Amino acid sequence: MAATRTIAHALSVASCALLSLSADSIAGVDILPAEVSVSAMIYVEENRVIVNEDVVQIKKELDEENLLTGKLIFDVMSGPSPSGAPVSSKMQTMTSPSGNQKIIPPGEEPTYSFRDTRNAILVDWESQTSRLTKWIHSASLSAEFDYYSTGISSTYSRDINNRLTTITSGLGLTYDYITPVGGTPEGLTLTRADSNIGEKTKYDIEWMIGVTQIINRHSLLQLNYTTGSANGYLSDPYKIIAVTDDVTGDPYDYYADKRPDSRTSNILFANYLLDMKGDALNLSYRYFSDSWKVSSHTYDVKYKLQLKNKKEFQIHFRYYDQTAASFYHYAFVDGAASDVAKENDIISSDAKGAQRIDGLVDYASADRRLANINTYTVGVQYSWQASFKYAKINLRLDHFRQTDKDKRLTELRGWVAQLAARFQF
Amino acid sequence: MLARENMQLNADELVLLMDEQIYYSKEASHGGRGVGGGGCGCN
Repeated sequence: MAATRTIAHALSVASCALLSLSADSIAGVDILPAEVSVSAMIYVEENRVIVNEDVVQIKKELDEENLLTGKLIFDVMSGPSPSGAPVSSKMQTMTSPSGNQKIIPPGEEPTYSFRDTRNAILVDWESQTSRLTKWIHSASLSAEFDYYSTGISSTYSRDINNRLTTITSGLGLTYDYITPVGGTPEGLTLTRADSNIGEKTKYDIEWMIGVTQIINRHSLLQLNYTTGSANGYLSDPYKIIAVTDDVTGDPYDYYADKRPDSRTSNILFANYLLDMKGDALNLSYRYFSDSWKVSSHTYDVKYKLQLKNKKEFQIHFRYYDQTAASFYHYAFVDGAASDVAKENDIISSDAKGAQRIDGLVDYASADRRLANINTYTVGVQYSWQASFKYAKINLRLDHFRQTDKDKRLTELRGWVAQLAARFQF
Repeated sequence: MLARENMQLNADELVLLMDEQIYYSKEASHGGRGVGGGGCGCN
């Protein structure tokens, strides 16, 4: 818990330091106008999680070469989150991470209710080291009740080809400290065994190289390649996987989620911007693949109409499609009652009726985020300018639907509403 | 034309920031635009 207090204290000190940047003077430096942005977002899932996230961002030029950007983020998250157990035709009794028992009615997706807050600070220092070169150094701290994250990164960019081409490379490191409510269950043990393997950690390293090319006066293209490696505790302590009867399909027991303790990923990202007589077309594509056998395609289209009096209206469409992780299972099926072996018969019982899982499977998760899913998003955004402090105000509304391509999980429907404003002081 | 705000790669950066966090917590993939940013134990 000493680490918890240290991180919380560091976050508090850093927050005060960031807020003080909006003051009128910094010793020994000529003060240029500061740009202050604020944002309030509410994210609502149908019958599930609600998140309220507020952001304050301050950008301050320290001199002609150095720009400091700080963000403070405040989240409140609450509501029922899917546990990973399937819907049953019978009543299910489940125990929440905090130890409370919950009755799940027949036909209802098992969830556990949670409430958490997240406070985070992100600081970027952008330094123009020459006419053609730039560094951005970043640091982040994030604290939740049960999750702490720290990160640093540096990105270097250099203009070449008469400044029509920019080469960029960056390295990022993240260290996370995880203290689940009710303890960390040992992976692939029965949840009723109430195991606890204590606090856990996770490390991430990411490296990125990219090129941005100005194609002509009206368009540009960015291409990035990123490779990353995560190591440590990558399971979800709150997710479970059920054992179901192979005749009725109903769950009757539950195991703790267990994922490999390493994950490497490769990402290709392309972003194309086209000026269309003042309107802007923004197309992006991302290909992601990792050592868990997840691969995904993300397509994103934004068309921003330039209206009269500096007003803007944007239409947004996003489509995401992923394959399931190799160890994803909707549920375990107990094949003991059947003579016919099935693909998912990965639980068996010995002569005394005790379930046997050792050696049959190394990893397993029923987390829907690792399933065979796709997501559609549509959204609109309206922006306008106000006379007060050169304010630019954004209002956007997005709606998404996430579907299980194997048609076993309930559809997830969510809405995002965000109001953001930017001021010059 | 390319200097206009709506032609910047990071236009509406607070919208991008929120979107990346939402989809990070709902899908198995993340990243691509750059390195860094805060982690979370998103539910």
